[in-house]
Amino acid sequence: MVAAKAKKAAGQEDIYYVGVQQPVELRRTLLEASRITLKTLHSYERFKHIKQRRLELTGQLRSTMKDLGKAIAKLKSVLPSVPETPKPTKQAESLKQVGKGAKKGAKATPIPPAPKQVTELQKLEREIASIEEQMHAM
Amino acid sequence: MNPHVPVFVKIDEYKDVLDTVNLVKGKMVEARSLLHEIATLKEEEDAELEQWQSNIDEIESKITAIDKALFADQ
Repeated sequence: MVAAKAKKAAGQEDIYYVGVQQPVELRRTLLEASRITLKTLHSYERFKHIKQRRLELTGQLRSTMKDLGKAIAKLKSVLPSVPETPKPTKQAESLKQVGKGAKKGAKATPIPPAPKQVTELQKLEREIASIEEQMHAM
Repeated sequence: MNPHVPVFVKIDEYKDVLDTVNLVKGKMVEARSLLHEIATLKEEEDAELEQWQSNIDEIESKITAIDKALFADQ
């Protein structure tokens, strides 16, 4: 890069120019950078489309899993019921002991009211816990 | 519950059981297929993101080259 001073015309201020050594190469580099940027933007459109499709499929999968849950529940209802004799779990044991202790002395703590609005997540968590309990009891 | 005691199902209910088991199997196949497709799309997304990363690196190097050519001697 070379700086050059232009000839001064009468009554004008000094004007300086900066020389670019390989202007064609520079322009080419700039155009390439521009091309890559545009390619990235083009790729974004494709990405957006893929993501949209993936979200649609995820929704479908959710629906299928719900149907699967219903089908399993139906299977459960169709199969004959077998009398269950659940093993006393540790939790149940400890609850019994707490109950005994409560009779003897201290005041029973009030049970907090259950939240009225149950979210889908809480509902699923309860169902999972219930199934796990049943499995442990077997 | 004694796991060794056999359970008997009425023959008409047995058909229901079979139908429901087939339904469950069908849903399982559907879910697996959807999951596979989602995984494929996720891989495509990841590939696009990697390409972006590479593009940004390339642009950066070009801008650095331009910067050098214009301002290196100042």
